Amino acid sequence: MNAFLQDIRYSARMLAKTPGFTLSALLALTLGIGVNSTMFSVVNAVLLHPLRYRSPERLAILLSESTTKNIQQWPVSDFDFDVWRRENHVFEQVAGLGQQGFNLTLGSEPERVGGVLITANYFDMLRVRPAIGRNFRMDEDQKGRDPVAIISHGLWQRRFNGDRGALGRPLILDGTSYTLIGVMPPDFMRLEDEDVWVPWVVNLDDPVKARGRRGMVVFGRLKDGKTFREAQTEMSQIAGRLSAAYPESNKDLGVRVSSWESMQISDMRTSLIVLWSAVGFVLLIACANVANLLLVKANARRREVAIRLALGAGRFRLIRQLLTESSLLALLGGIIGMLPTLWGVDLIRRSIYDPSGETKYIAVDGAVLGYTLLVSLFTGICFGLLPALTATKTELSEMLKQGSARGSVSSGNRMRSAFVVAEISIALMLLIGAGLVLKSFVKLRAVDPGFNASNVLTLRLSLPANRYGTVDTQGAFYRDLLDRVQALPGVQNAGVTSELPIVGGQDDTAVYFPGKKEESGLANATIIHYSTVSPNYFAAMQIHLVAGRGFNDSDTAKAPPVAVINDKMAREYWPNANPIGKNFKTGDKWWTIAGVVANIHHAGLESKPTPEIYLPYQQFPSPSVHLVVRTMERQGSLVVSIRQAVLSLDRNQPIYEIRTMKAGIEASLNLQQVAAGLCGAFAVVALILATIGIYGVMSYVVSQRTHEIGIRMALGAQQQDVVRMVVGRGAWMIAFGLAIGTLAAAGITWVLTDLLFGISATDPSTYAGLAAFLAAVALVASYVPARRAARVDPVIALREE
Amino acid sequence: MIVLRNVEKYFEHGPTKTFVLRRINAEIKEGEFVSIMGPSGAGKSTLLHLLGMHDSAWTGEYYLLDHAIHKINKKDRMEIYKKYFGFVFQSYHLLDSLTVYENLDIPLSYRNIKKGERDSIVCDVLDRFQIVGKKDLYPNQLSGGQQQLVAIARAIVATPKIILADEPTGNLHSNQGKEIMELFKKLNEGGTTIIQVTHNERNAEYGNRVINIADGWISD
Repeated sequence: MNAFLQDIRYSARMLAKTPGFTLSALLALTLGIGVNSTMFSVVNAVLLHPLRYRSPERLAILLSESTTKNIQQWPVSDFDFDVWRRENHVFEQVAGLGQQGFNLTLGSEPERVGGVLITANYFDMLRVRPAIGRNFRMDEDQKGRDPVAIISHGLWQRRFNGDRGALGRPLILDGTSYTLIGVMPPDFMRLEDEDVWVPWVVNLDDPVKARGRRGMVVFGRLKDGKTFREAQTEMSQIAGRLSAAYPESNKDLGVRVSSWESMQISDMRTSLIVLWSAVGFVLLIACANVANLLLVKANARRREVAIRLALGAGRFRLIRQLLTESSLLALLGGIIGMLPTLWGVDLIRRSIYDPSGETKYIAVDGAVLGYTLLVSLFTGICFGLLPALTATKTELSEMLKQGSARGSVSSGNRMRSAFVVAEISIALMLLIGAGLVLKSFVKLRAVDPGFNASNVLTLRLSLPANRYGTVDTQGAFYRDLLDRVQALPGVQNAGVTSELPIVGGQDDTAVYFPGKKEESGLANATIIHYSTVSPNYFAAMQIHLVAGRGFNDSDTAKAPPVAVINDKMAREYWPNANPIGKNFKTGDKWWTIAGVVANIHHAGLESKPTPEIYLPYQQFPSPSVHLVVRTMERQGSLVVSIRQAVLSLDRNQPIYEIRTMKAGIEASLNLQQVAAGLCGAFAVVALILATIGIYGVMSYVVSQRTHEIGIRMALGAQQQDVVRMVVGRGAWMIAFGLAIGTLAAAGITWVLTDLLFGISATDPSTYAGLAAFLAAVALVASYVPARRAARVDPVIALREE
Repeated sequence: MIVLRNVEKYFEHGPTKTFVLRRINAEIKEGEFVSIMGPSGAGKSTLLHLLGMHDSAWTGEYYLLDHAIHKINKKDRMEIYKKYFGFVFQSYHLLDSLTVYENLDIPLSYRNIKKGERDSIVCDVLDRFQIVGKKDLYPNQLSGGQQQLVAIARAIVATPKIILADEPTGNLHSNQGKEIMELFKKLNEGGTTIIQVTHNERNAEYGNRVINIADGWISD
């Protein structure tokens, strides 16, 4: 211990005695460790702790799954849920939920709040309890019980000012009065932006309906000792029995048991691992930089090392001391690196579009500090080991007889050159990776969505079922609203749709075509996306009509059912025929195709158009719609007018999700934008470090060769000869680095394939352009010391020797 | 105490060998003060570093007390070196970044002696060499003579049986050199075996025997 403390003391003194070295090394380490800790903050929150519940590794998601088609995420019926819950032996608890927003009426202005219907045991399954008040009683999800609700800490603070007396008070949700019984803890992890939880009443009164209506997502907590594999086996057996017993609703329906944690991170896993790897490479470059500095220092310390060996120090002891020094340096780098980490984490949090507030968990906490400590120590050993081994491998008698530090430096130079080659290779790899991601993002943004998003204002409203439960009442409300909005000054066109393209999700429906034997049952259905729209919707979005007609006001509930399909569906299902006038069945009606519109990227800019069906809102009602308003100019004041129009129709009806279509599209690209930004930032850091690396090595080479350059110049060498000689050496390293980097990039960028859009992972122009750019930067970095070498005064250089 | 039999050291250059030491046979008894003399390049320092086990690339037999050094691996040789030897260099080789006190402490720390005991030994040596007042100075704050005094103090701090000194007065003026040689004589009288390399006849007179080397051979 004593010797260790002594090593630390000596190390601190050595670092203080060489401030130039220490500052250069700290700069590289701060950047390298800083970006790593920043990225780990994200990985820690998103990948390592995706579910902030107790024993999250035992939580499962159970979804119905077609055993003949690959449709995994199919919600579960009340009936299936009830059977699964009763008959399984693998889950401690099985709970279900369905998301549903509510219009909250409290005070003067109605508010739309996110909500979830849950079975009464849901919180028990998660092993959480309300922080204030009580949980649902087990019988409160049965029919006929008094409506009760639990709210989030945020809503309690916002609408009740944190008043404990709010418990027991009525909460008016969609016009129904619920008794407030509990408030969840402030750090309770929400699924999205829900603020209200009410019981899901499992209704088995009508068995046919209970089997046909599918809206529940089911969760389970595995019993101790049970595995997901065992759970899958047993649940498949149960699903098999259901399928045999109820073929009309459950034919060919299985169940998929998945780890909730895995499902939670599946979308982000590849991106985050790629980014985490990228910062690992940045750290490698920083290590190579500092190792190079240490090699220079090791050469200057050969005498000291020889003396210590002669005084009886073992090689291990000396290596330990040198590693103590490098580890101390890395720890300092880690401590200072927390500053860019804090800044980086803040920047990432502010960059991510986060309506649920979950990004607050991307933070510098104990885990991040521990990781930084480990990375610092590992880094210290990593970049310190080779220089320490080199420094302590010395010809003792020769060194001591010479009485000076001069010795052979050729092996050190080779190692330094190798480090620079490695730095350039890694930097090129990162630059190419970042270049591909950035180029992909640019291409993604340039995608024509199939409609005109400029000057379009969107907002959402959801009509409560207890007051707008029929086609007529919903239709009347939307018709009146559209009339009023259409009449507002500045409005060109206004329409409604149940699903907004790109930002609003997608609804699927089971479609049956004429000629099939059975026209019911999921197994016989074709699953197609659909939207319910108003006549003016296509005009408001400027989605072009390709054939036939759009909807008009005469397409009412009493008129014959008509549909508009997109061009993709027309070509896929009627490739050699005119689809106008053709029929299909969805819901309980047969629909006649009245028109065909152009394809749009409904599921997102990165997704190719798929078959789509549009149904008239008066014939296929939707309680929740997006109002789409095309305006002539800025839309700021229009929101107020539209809100007044809505309130004038129903003073309890809130509007929400108010934004422009362009802002919505930007939000949909947010994660790609953040990922591209991070890739770019990491590549820039890598470029800076590699440039410093080659500059440092070339400067050192020049200082080592000053005498030789003096002799050459005394023998008649011109300045350009010296520049050529020095830059030539740098050029070899750069060429080697670029060659290895290009090959490595070609070998590794395949991992980006899933993240790229419209560009190949081996895009030649990206490779060539970035290699040329890096070569130019690196050549400039070696040209500067070369110019200095060319100014050497031969008289002074020779006298120095 | 030390017996060398047919010790040779050479460098190979392709098919040819360049000998630095040839068939060295010598014996040094405990308590002797031996001077190794000879012209530059004769192999004096090479022989001294070979005795001090800084060099392991040689052939022949080397016995130190009851240890057959030529049969012992590098790691064990280091242990024997730490137990028996102290080394004094012509250019002092003090560690620039350490104070006088720390320079004396270093050999003890490499011998795994506890801190309390080390402090006591270092204070004793500082006192014996009358350099207590300089204990917090760095080497560059000392004169050449003072640096060599510290170097000798450092060589004896771990109470070696043998001190190897490579031209210990080579960088000192005559008065300082004389003081250093007197110090060696005193240490020798105290029982320490001393082997020095020197060009200087007068310094050799402090010893009781001279080994002459020329072209790698012992010449008498």
